[in-house]
Amino acid sequence: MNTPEREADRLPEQAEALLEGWPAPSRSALEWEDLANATVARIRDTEVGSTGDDLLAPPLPKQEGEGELSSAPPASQPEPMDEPGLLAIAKAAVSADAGQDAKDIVRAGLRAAEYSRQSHPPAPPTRTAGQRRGTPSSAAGLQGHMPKSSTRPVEAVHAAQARSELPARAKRDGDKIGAGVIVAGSMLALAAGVALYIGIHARQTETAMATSHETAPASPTPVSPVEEAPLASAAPADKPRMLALDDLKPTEPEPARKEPAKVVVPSATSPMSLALNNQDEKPSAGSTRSAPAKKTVAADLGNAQGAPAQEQKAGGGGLVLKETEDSMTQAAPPPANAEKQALPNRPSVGAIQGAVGSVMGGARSCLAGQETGSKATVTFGADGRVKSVSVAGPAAGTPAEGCVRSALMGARVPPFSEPEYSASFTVRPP
Amino acid sequence: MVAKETDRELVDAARGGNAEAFGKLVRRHQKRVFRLAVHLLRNGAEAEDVTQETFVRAYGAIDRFDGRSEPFTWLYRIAVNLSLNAIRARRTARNAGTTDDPRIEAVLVERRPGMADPARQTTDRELATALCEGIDALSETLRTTLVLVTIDGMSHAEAAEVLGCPEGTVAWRIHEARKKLREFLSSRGHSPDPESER
Repeated sequence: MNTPEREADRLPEQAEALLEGWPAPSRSALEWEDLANATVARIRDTEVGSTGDDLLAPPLPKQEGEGELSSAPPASQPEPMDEPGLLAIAKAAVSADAGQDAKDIVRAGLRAAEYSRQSHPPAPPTRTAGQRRGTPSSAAGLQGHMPKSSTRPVEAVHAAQARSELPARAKRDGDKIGAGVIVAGSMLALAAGVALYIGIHARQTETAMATSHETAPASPTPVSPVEEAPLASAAPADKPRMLALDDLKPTEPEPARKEPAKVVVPSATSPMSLALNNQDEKPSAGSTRSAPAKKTVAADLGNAQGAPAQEQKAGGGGLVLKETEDSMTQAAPPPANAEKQALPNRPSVGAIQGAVGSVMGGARSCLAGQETGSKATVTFGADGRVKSVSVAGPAAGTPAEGCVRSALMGARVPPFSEPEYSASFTVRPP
Repeated sequence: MVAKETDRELVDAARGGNAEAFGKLVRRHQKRVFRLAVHLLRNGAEAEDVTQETFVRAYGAIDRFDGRSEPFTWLYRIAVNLSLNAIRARRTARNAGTTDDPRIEAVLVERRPGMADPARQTTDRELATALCEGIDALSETLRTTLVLVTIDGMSHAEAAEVLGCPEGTVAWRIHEARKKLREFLSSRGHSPDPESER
């Protein structure tokens, strides 16, 4: 794919999964070959230059009344530091088990900021198409969130200064508070609130996630809904791990896996997450590439349903996802430039699923008449296109191999920053 | 790893008179073009015809492929034009969401009856039918754009190149199409409520 869609534009998850992986009508390998041969036969009788320009013209140019939107922002972009965000952080800090001084600082900062807004209301911000629903678009949205207090903001700031280390500023004539005091108070409150919020969140994260997790890269990553849960850890380098990709539903983050044969099946409440652990990358004599680390991931599009830590057999679908640590030469270098940092390191699970799912029907049709499936390893280039497909198993060395390869070559994922990314699938006969 | 010629290399070879090189291009992209045509035309036989015609016409215009775009977007533009021409030439509207809709049949075949539980199969059919009806209710412009981006998996930039419109217009069309589709599905009982997804 895919340009990530705005959260507000998304359909029900099952509908999204169907749209992204809608298969083509099934045709046998022989039928495809016949169609190709017939086409080539017609091409031989076709004169270059015989096609009119009308077929090369834009089919659906922009029409009157149509608007334009910017591309959907990556879901992992940091939230803008607007008032609701600051308020949420400050509220979390105030409501947390924080010291009294810190709470006072935060409260003082909030009151000072609110006083400032009431005195000098900001220009109403315009809501962009990507802005989440429920995000207040004006300062009025904050009115009801301020803690009620009879203390004027000025006095609260002074009181906080007396007890804490708020920078003391010279009073000005009358009761006016200089803009600098308000800003300083807000900034201090923000700093205290952020520190408390991060500390609280870090504690929560630690208790929720295993220590062996590798967090997602810092650069913004277009995330499909199935990737909203943190990435879980991978199996040890030398053992494949089978994961069910069929029902990509919200799931809890997966704990560290000690037994490589175990499969963690997502629960029914959170998106499927797939851990890609780069920690164990190491050079291998078997590697034929000097390129940076290459990860291989395979997916099982079976009928696995939610059940804790069971090994899943592949279902009626054609994909088997397993994570292996293939031969790697060196760890991936950090992005060299800002442009690469804007791309995800690798395609998301959802993107791979959608890309391969869209062509899997054709690939499966290539194996008509065979008893068992074959393994196909699809290597995506950084531009998202398939660079190569290798086929192993019963189809290897037969005409079906080329058919499977041709079918899977049509898969497409969004661009990513690593030089390439491979995923293995089991293609099963129809 | 198998070294394969890129699409551009195949087009360049075909431009030099190598029909077999163009044949490789056909085998590489015909399934994807066929799937696009099926979703636009909602008819398998017509989609096969359009698929073949796409490559024949593309070969006939290969002298005008300037290389500024990728060959597959160039092929797609031809496929979309042929599909839209076929739709406009129809005398009667196609019925959508019927049991012989190739789009629905493809979904049901993929999720084979023998391997999926009957309840899920029924759900799949209902959802696929509702989606098809919702997509068919869209305007030609919104439907074509949605098929390219959401079903075929093109990026907005690629779809803009195929359709000949700004990328922002593609984003706007997708937004509009999804909004209408969401409303349609909601009216059919397919709500985006997360709890209903379990």
